[in-house]
Amino acid sequence: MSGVNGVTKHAGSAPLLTLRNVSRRFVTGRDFLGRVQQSVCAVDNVSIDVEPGTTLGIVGESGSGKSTLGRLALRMIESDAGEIDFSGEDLRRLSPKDLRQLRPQMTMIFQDPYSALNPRWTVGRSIAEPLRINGSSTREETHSAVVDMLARVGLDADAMHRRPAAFSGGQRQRIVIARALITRPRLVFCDEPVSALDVSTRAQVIGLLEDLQRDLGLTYLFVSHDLGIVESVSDRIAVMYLGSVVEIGNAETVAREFRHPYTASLVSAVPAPDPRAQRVRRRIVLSGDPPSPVDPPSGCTFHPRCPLAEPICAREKPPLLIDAAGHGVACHVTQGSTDLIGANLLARMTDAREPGISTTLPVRVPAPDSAPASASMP
Amino acid sequence: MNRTADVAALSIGGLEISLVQGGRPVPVVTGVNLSVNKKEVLGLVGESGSGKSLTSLAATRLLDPRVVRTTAGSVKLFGKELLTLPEAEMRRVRGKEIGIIFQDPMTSLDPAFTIGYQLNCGLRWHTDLTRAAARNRVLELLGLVGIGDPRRRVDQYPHQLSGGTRQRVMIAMAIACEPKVLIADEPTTALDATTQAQILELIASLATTMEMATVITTHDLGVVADVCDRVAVMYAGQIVECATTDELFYRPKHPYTERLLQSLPGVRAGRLQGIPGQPPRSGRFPQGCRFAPRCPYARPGCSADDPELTRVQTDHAARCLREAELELTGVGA
Ligand SMILES: Nc1ncnc2c1ncn2[C@@H]1O[C@H](COP(=O)(O)OP(=O)(O)OP(=O)(O)O)[C@@H](O)[C@H]1O
Ligand SMILES: Nc1ncnc2c1ncn2[C@@H]1O[C@H](COP(=O)(O)OP(=O)(O)O)[C@@H](O)[C@H]1O
Ligand code: SF4
Ligand code: SF4
Ligand SMILES: [Mg+2]
Ligand SMILES: [Mg+2]
Repeated sequence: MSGVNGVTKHAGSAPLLTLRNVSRRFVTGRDFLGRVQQSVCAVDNVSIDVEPGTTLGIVGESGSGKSTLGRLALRMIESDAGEIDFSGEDLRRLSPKDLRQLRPQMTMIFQDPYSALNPRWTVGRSIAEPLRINGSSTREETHSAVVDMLARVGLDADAMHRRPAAFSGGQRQRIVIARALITRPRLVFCDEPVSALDVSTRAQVIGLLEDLQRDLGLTYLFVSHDLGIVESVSDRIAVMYLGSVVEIGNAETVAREFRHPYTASLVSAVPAPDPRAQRVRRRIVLSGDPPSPVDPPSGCTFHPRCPLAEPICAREKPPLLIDAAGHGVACHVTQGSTDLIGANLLARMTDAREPGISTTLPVRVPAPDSAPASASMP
Repeated sequence: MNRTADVAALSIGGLEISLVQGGRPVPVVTGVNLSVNKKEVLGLVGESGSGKSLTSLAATRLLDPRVVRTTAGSVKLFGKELLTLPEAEMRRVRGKEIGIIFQDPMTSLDPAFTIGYQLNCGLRWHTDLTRAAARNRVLELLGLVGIGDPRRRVDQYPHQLSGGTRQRVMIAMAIACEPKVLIADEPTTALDATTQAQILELIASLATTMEMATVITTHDLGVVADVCDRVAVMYAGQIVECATTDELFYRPKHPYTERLLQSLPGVRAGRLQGIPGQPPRSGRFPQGCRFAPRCPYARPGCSADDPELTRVQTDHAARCLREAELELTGVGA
């Protein structure tokens, strides 16, 4: 574990949300021999700040801990260690009663608009449900809040009487957004809110989220595996790999002047919707799956897939060092370098790949001889 | 050019697919014309519900005839009509001459059997390989699709694999018999961005090395920018534009294509554009141009006449009444 925390030093208003050295392990049971307990460090010593009215984007491959981090931040699950501060309150120390009072201020939008809504309930009932749980609104207040929310998300008031089946994916996501905002939250955790939607609908829903942020002063934690989308909505971006934040900074900086080799590989995987640019661009296609979080690699957990890895990388975990501009990188090799930034870093990585490892297709044809006998093959 | 090169590997003409449940058949896909040559990769792009999967299923005759049927058109494999082929012969074509990768790898892999067993079954159905030879071929295939340590993976069950590896297994199955045509229906939609890039490069490089004619369907124009030679854009059951990839991206000739391009992050700075409104529900298409209710350039005349798919250049066709007068914006402009 690194000794240096990701404390941002850049100026700005007091953060709405602060995480300090937050970690969470999940016990995933015993291994297949039934002996040792396995556990997964889903979030490992993460520190972030989110300023009010801004969007912190969180990117990373599947399983990197993005959803877990968001759920920890909203205290939907408990953390093992660290501090979580919401609007000056230490969430981890809050009594259940106080937490219940704070709840309406923190909500969540899920990925799948199809399973997020109860198919038997009318849309109006689904949207009003968080108010009912709260128990503080009269019938009339609830009704007018639902009408207002529907208008804000661009749906007709009579949508209230219909059931989810009557709506397309994009419309359902608008309903889900209306439900998430009905309690007038300050912090909204958007977990892959557009991944299940078509490209054209995606752009509509993102535009809606941006409008609502401006009108209602919302703060977003915005999770996606697509750096292109995250860049277009975020003020700041945190890049996660196997539970750790490996790079953090202003959206522009992380997307264009990135310094971490893993960020570089994510950038090179974003489809550039321009065929010529795409063809000349050399992609760093990471070979293989991300390593198992049950048994993470030593040192820098990215080292088995990193073209720039040096001996130290397998031994020591690089700390996340944050500069005066609030740009943080956890990498032994690129940290002190003045030229391993952005396009230069990408070029260096593709060059490093050339001997030995293919940047495109890892074709490895096994020798056809002496295959070990196998019971499951017919 | 010799004569065989003139015959497209796969050509689909005037395809119409209709829902047949209860009452009169309702056409949901009409006027699909496509052709793909050997070594060529064609992207079939459209919003969900536009008819991409139905087209892929119709081409391989896998539609459930109780629900949905091909009601007109032709599907030719090197000039041979497939729609009238006896089912027994079609079964040999499928898998052997046309490889298919379906949208959802979890539904196409049987959770009860190891991936080795499933690959082996497919191989031995179509070839007369011995058991040992088939096993070696399976290991070779797993290596070919970039699965490390094939000897271990071959005995694993689908749930033990990541989404990306499962999709690689699907690709191995589809190419096992070295088909001449490969149809991949949204092969990367369920995957994250990094894995998506890996899988698309894999498919494109296999298409070249194995000299297949390949159709990749997707709802995301951005992902096909570098892997496809040509792109066909589908809207509400019709092809609305078809062109070489560069033509389509830099000089789109259909307003829907223009709007799709503007929906992609990175095409222009600032706010993503999106397309207002919804595509029509299947079978309930508006009169005249089906895009008219959402089209920023629509004129009253657009809802009166049905636009035809018209050639505007060599290898560029568009279905828009105002094509000649509109100045549309491509990427990089
Ligand atoms: N309740 C749980 N029990 C056990 N393991 C869990 C649990 N929740 C998450 N994990 C594990 O923690 C790690 C991080 O998971 P998380 O869902 O946060 O990833 P993610 O970045 O959101 O991925 P995705 O893009 O697939 O949604 C994974 O290895 C996952 O398997
Ligand atoms: N088995 C079916 N029964 C009824 N409607 C169907 C069936 N299959 C497809 N459709 C309809 O046909 C249209 C085209 O579907 P599909 O080819 O799956 O679209 P895509 O693959 O482009 O998302 C959709 O509107 C869909 O609802
Ligand atoms: S610390 Fe080493 S292995 Fe890790 S990202 Fe940097 S160079 Fe690569
Ligand atoms: S025919 Fe008219 S409505 Fe249809 S795409 Fe062209 S301009 Fe738009
Ligand atoms: Mg998640
Ligand atoms: Mg489909």
